[in-house]
Amino acid sequence: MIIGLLSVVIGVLLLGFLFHWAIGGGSSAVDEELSPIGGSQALHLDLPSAELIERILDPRDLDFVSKESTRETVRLFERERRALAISWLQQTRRQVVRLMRYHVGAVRQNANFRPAPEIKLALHYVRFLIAYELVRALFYAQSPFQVRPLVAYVTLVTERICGVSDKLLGELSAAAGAPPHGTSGGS
Amino acid sequence: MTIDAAIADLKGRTLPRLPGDIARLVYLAATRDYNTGRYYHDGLAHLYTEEIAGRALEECHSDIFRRLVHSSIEDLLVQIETYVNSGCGQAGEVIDFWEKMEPYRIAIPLASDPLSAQLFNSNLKIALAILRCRVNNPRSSSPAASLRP
Repeated sequence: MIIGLLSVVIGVLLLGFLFHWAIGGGSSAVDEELSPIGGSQALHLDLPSAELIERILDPRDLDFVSKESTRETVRLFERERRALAISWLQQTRRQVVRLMRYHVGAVRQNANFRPAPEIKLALHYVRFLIAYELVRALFYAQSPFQVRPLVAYVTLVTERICGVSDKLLGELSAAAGAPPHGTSGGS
Repeated sequence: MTIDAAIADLKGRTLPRLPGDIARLVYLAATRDYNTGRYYHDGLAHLYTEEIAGRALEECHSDIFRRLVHSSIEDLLVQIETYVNSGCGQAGEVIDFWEKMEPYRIAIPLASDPLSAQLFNSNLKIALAILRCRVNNPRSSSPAASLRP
């Protein structure tokens, strides 16, 4: 009950922050650089791959190391995997934030802005931020291998954000008579 | 003469003669100049051009590295055992040196992303720790029991 209430409060706060950001709270320097109508180049995201995090958190490695080595090595292995998983998560977040800044900068200057799909994208972003914080906390609190389903969720939401943003920016560019702007990168 | 032909040449003739992917990685990394990062191979440059030979070596280096990064620790351990058993030195001596100096760090291709490089280094570290355990305990039922301490 308390967790549910807390999630709602966090969600509302994040939505409020996002709304404030979208209507003008963000950096103006970003806007100038990223407006697609201004003819900026497409954004090349450097998203770490989903395949890589699956490899990092592959339970077969944990089984093998647990079976074949000392407790000290198992502890070292878990420590190393945690650090790698956190690096993956932080890099993913940096790229998603970059994409959203680009997206907001591009949409803000476009007269063909459609609120409904933009709200859908904002909701995906809120989901992503909540999942990110949760996964990061769990990485510190328990074995990173136990957090695999949530990491898969982060990957899924990231793909959706990239997909929706690509589609919306493509539509806006087409409506403005400019070539479509692909934004997604390596994932 | 295209780069594809040079890659096919490397993959079809030179690399299969080496015992396993670790040996291939070490070999390809050794064809890279320590100062400039450029790849050189006299034979290949003679057949193709220096530039094509360099690009083919770089491409093959990245391929082998990707394959090793995506290997499980169990498979990586087999690769290290194959390398150690190929006569590059006594197992204990090689493990000691690799654990102290971490020479595998300079075998990473320049173009690889930092996270993959971090994963590779971490996997090597863990695999070496397991191998050390096996060498110190030769009664182990694992295949590495055949390693020369």
